[in-house]
Amino acid sequence: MSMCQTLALLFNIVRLALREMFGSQEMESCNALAPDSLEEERAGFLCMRYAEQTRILSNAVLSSPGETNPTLRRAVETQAAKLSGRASSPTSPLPDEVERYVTKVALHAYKVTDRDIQALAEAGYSEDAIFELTLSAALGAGMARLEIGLNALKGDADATQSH
Amino acid sequence: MRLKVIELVLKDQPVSDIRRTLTYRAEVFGHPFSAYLQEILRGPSDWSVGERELFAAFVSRKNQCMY
Repeated sequence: MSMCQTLALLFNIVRLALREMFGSQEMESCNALAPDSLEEERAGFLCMRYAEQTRILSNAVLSSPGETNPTLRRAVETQAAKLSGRASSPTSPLPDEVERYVTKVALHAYKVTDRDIQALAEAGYSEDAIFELTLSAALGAGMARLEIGLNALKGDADATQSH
Repeated sequence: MRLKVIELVLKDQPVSDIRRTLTYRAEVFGHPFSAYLQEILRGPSDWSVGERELFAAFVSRKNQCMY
Protein backbone atom coordinates (compact mmCIF):
# COMPACT_ATOMS: atom_id res chain seq x y z
CA MET A 1 0.00 0.00 0.00
CA SER A 2 1.44 3.34 -1.01
CA MET A 3 1.80 6.30 1.32
CA CYS A 4 -0.91 8.07 -0.57
CA GLN A 5 -3.43 5.23 -0.16
CA THR A 6 -2.63 4.95 3.54
CA LEU A 7 -3.24 8.65 4.04
CA ALA A 8 -6.48 8.49 2.13
CA LEU A 9 -7.61 5.53 4.21
CA LEU A 10 -6.71 7.28 7.46
CA PHE A 11 -8.49 10.40 6.35
CA ASN A 12 -11.63 8.44 5.63
CA ILE A 13 -11.55 6.67 8.99
CA VAL A 14 -11.17 9.99 10.82
CA ARG A 15 -13.92 11.53 8.74
CA LEU A 16 -16.32 8.67 9.47
CA ALA A 17 -15.47 8.69 13.17
CA LEU A 18 -16.00 12.43 13.39
CA ARG A 19 -19.31 12.14 11.62
CA GLU A 20 -20.49 9.43 13.98
CA MET A 21 -19.46 11.40 17.07
CA PHE A 22 -20.87 14.65 15.79
CA GLY A 23 -24.08 13.01 14.66
CA SER A 24 -24.84 11.26 17.94
CA GLN A 25 -24.03 14.29 20.09
CA GLU A 26 -26.27 16.45 18.00
CA MET A 27 -29.08 13.94 18.36
CA GLU A 28 -28.80 13.83 22.17
CA SER A 29 -28.77 17.56 22.65
CA CYS A 30 -31.77 18.02 20.40
CA ASN A 31 -33.75 15.32 22.19
CA ALA A 32 -33.01 17.07 25.45
CA LEU A 33 -34.45 20.28 24.05
CA ALA A 34 -37.87 18.90 23.22
CA PRO A 35 -38.68 15.90 25.42
CA ASP A 36 -42.16 14.37 25.06
CA SER A 37 -43.47 17.37 23.19
CA LEU A 38 -45.69 17.26 20.12
CA GLU A 39 -42.72 18.51 18.17
CA GLU A 40 -40.47 15.66 19.29
CA GLU A 41 -40.81 13.81 16.02
CA ARG A 42 -39.91 16.87 14.00
CA ALA A 43 -37.12 17.90 16.39
CA GLY A 44 -35.54 14.47 15.94
CA PHE A 45 -35.74 14.83 12.21
CA LEU A 46 -34.34 18.35 12.20
CA CYS A 47 -31.25 17.16 14.05
CA MET A 48 -30.32 14.98 11.12
CA ARG A 49 -27.44 15.56 8.75
CA TYR A 50 -29.26 17.76 6.29
CA ALA A 51 -30.96 19.97 8.86
CA GLU A 52 -29.31 23.14 7.58
CA GLN A 53 -30.28 22.54 3.96
CA THR A 54 -33.80 21.63 5.02
CA ARG A 55 -34.09 24.85 6.98
CA ILE A 56 -32.78 26.98 4.11
CA LEU A 57 -35.15 25.33 1.62
CA SER A 58 -38.19 25.65 3.91
CA ASN A 59 -37.45 29.29 4.63
CA ALA A 60 -36.97 30.10 0.95
CA VAL A 61 -40.25 28.45 -0.07
CA LEU A 62 -42.35 29.63 2.87
CA SER A 63 -40.90 33.03 3.76
CA SER A 64 -39.39 34.56 0.60
CA PRO A 65 -41.09 37.75 -0.52
CA GLY A 66 -43.92 36.79 -2.85
CA GLU A 67 -47.51 37.30 -3.82
CA THR A 68 -48.96 35.05 -1.16
CA ASN A 69 -48.79 35.70 2.55
CA PRO A 70 -46.22 33.49 4.36
CA THR A 71 -48.99 32.55 6.81
CA LEU A 72 -51.03 31.07 3.96
CA ARG A 73 -47.97 29.28 2.60
CA ARG A 74 -47.25 27.77 6.01
CA ALA A 75 -50.87 26.66 6.34
CA VAL A 76 -50.62 25.02 2.91
CA GLU A 77 -47.36 23.30 3.89
CA THR A 78 -48.91 22.02 7.13
CA GLN A 79 -52.04 20.77 5.37
CA ALA A 80 -50.06 18.95 2.66
CA ALA A 81 -47.84 17.37 5.33
CA LYS A 82 -50.86 16.27 7.33
CA LEU A 83 -52.42 14.66 4.23
CA SER A 84 -49.12 12.89 3.65
CA GLY A 85 -49.06 11.39 7.14
CA ARG A 86 -47.27 13.86 9.41
CA ALA A 87 -48.80 13.72 12.87
CA SER A 88 -48.73 17.42 13.62
CA SER A 89 -50.36 20.40 15.17
CA PRO A 90 -53.89 21.34 14.05
CA THR A 91 -54.13 22.98 10.64
CA SER A 92 -55.76 26.31 10.00
CA PRO A 93 -58.60 26.22 7.45
CA LEU A 94 -57.74 27.02 3.82
CA PRO A 95 -59.99 28.60 1.20
CA ASP A 96 -61.95 25.84 -0.61
CA GLU A 97 -60.23 26.20 -3.97
CA VAL A 98 -56.79 26.16 -2.32
CA GLU A 99 -57.72 23.13 -0.21
CA ARG A 100 -58.79 21.19 -3.33
CA TYR A 101 -55.57 22.06 -5.14
CA VAL A 102 -53.33 21.29 -2.15
CA THR A 103 -55.00 17.90 -1.73
CA LYS A 104 -54.31 17.05 -5.35
CA VAL A 105 -50.67 18.15 -5.22
CA ALA A 106 -50.05 16.32 -1.94
CA LEU A 107 -51.74 13.02 -2.78
CA HIS A 108 -51.47 12.62 -6.55
CA ALA A 109 -49.54 15.43 -8.16
CA TYR A 110 -49.47 13.57 -11.48
CA LYS A 111 -53.20 14.24 -11.83
CA VAL A 112 -52.79 18.03 -11.83
CA THR A 113 -53.81 19.53 -15.18
CA ASP A 114 -54.13 22.98 -16.73
CA ARG A 115 -57.74 22.97 -15.58
CA ASP A 116 -56.68 23.01 -11.91
CA ILE A 117 -54.42 26.00 -12.53
CA GLN A 118 -57.25 27.67 -14.47
CA ALA A 119 -59.63 27.17 -11.54
CA LEU A 120 -57.21 28.91 -9.17
CA ALA A 121 -56.63 31.71 -11.68
CA GLU A 122 -60.39 32.23 -11.94
CA ALA A 123 -60.57 32.40 -8.14
CA GLY A 124 -58.19 35.36 -8.36
CA TYR A 125 -54.77 33.82 -7.81
CA SER A 126 -51.96 35.10 -10.02
CA GLU A 127 -49.51 32.72 -11.67
CA ASP A 128 -46.86 33.68 -9.12
CA ALA A 129 -49.27 32.99 -6.27
CA ILE A 130 -50.09 29.56 -7.76
CA PHE A 131 -46.35 28.87 -8.13
CA GLU A 132 -45.82 29.65 -4.44
CA LEU A 133 -48.81 27.56 -3.31
CA THR A 134 -47.61 24.62 -5.42
CA LEU A 135 -44.11 24.76 -3.93
CA SER A 136 -45.48 25.03 -0.38
CA ALA A 137 -47.75 22.03 -0.90
CA ALA A 138 -44.96 19.98 -2.49
CA LEU A 139 -42.59 20.90 0.35
CA GLY A 140 -45.07 19.75 3.00
CA ALA A 141 -45.85 16.52 1.17
CA GLY A 142 -42.18 15.75 0.54
CA MET A 143 -40.96 16.58 4.04
CA ALA A 144 -43.71 14.51 5.66
CA ARG A 145 -42.67 11.48 3.60
CA LEU A 146 -39.03 12.03 4.53
CA GLU A 147 -39.88 12.32 8.24
CA ILE A 148 -41.96 9.12 8.13
CA GLY A 149 -39.15 7.29 6.36
CA LEU A 150 -36.51 8.44 8.85
CA ASN A 151 -38.75 7.60 11.80
CA ALA A 152 -39.34 4.14 10.35
CA LEU A 153 -35.57 3.66 10.20
CA LYS A 154 -35.37 4.60 13.88
CA GLY A 155 -37.94 1.87 14.58
CA ASP A 156 -40.72 4.24 15.52
CA ALA A 157 -43.85 2.06 15.58
CA ASP A 158 -46.25 5.01 15.27
CA ALA A 159 -44.71 6.12 12.02
CA THR A 160 -45.02 2.70 10.43
CA GLN A 161 -48.57 2.12 11.68
CA SER A 162 -49.99 5.30 10.24
CA HIS A 163 -48.68 4.31 6.82
CA MET B 1 -43.02 37.78 -17.81
CA ARG B 2 -40.01 36.15 -16.16
CA LEU B 3 -40.97 32.88 -17.83
CA LYS B 4 -40.94 34.67 -21.18
CA VAL B 5 -37.42 35.90 -20.46
CA ILE B 6 -36.26 32.39 -19.61
CA GLU B 7 -37.80 31.09 -22.83
CA LEU B 8 -36.10 33.83 -24.83
CA VAL B 9 -32.71 33.14 -23.27
CA LEU B 10 -33.04 29.41 -23.92
CA LYS B 11 -34.88 29.73 -27.22
CA ASP B 12 -32.65 27.34 -29.15
CA GLN B 13 -33.18 24.50 -26.69
CA PRO B 14 -36.39 22.85 -25.68
CA VAL B 15 -37.18 24.07 -22.16
CA SER B 16 -38.16 21.21 -19.92
CA ASP B 17 -40.64 21.72 -17.10
CA ILE B 18 -37.90 20.69 -14.67
CA ARG B 19 -35.69 23.48 -15.94
CA ARG B 20 -38.52 26.00 -15.71
CA THR B 21 -39.27 24.99 -12.14
CA LEU B 22 -35.60 25.27 -11.17
CA THR B 23 -34.93 28.58 -12.92
CA TYR B 24 -38.17 30.48 -12.35
CA ARG B 25 -37.70 32.77 -9.32
CA ALA B 26 -34.77 30.54 -8.36
CA GLU B 27 -34.27 32.19 -4.97
CA VAL B 28 -37.63 30.79 -3.83
CA PHE B 29 -36.94 27.18 -4.81
CA GLY B 30 -34.39 26.41 -7.53
CA HIS B 31 -31.22 27.54 -5.76
CA PRO B 32 -31.81 26.06 -2.30
CA PHE B 33 -33.33 22.89 -3.78
CA SER B 34 -30.45 22.35 -6.22
CA ALA B 35 -27.90 22.80 -3.43
CA TYR B 36 -29.77 20.28 -1.29
CA LEU B 37 -30.06 17.85 -4.20
CA GLN B 38 -26.37 18.16 -5.03
CA GLU B 39 -25.41 17.36 -1.43
CA ILE B 40 -27.72 14.35 -1.25
CA LEU B 41 -26.97 12.87 -4.67
CA ARG B 42 -23.27 13.74 -4.98
CA GLY B 43 -22.08 14.66 -1.48
CA PRO B 44 -20.16 12.36 0.87
CA SER B 45 -22.15 9.21 1.58
CA ASP B 46 -21.81 5.51 2.25
CA TRP B 47 -24.03 4.98 -0.81
CA SER B 48 -22.58 5.21 -4.30
CA VAL B 49 -23.83 7.84 -6.73
CA GLY B 50 -25.47 5.08 -8.79
CA GLU B 51 -27.31 3.67 -5.78
CA ARG B 52 -28.59 7.11 -4.83
CA GLU B 53 -29.79 7.77 -8.37
CA LEU B 54 -31.57 4.43 -8.27
CA PHE B 55 -33.37 5.37 -5.02
CA ALA B 56 -34.45 8.64 -6.64
CA ALA B 57 -35.71 6.85 -9.76
CA PHE B 58 -37.65 4.37 -7.62
CA VAL B 59 -39.35 7.15 -5.65
CA SER B 60 -40.20 9.01 -8.86
CA ARG B 61 -41.74 5.85 -10.27
CA LYS B 62 -43.82 5.44 -7.10
CA ASN B 63 -45.01 9.03 -7.52
CA GLN B 64 -45.75 8.36 -11.19
CA CYS B 65 -43.30 11.14 -11.96
CA MET B 66 -41.33 10.99 -15.24
CA TYR B 67 -38.36 12.85 -13.79
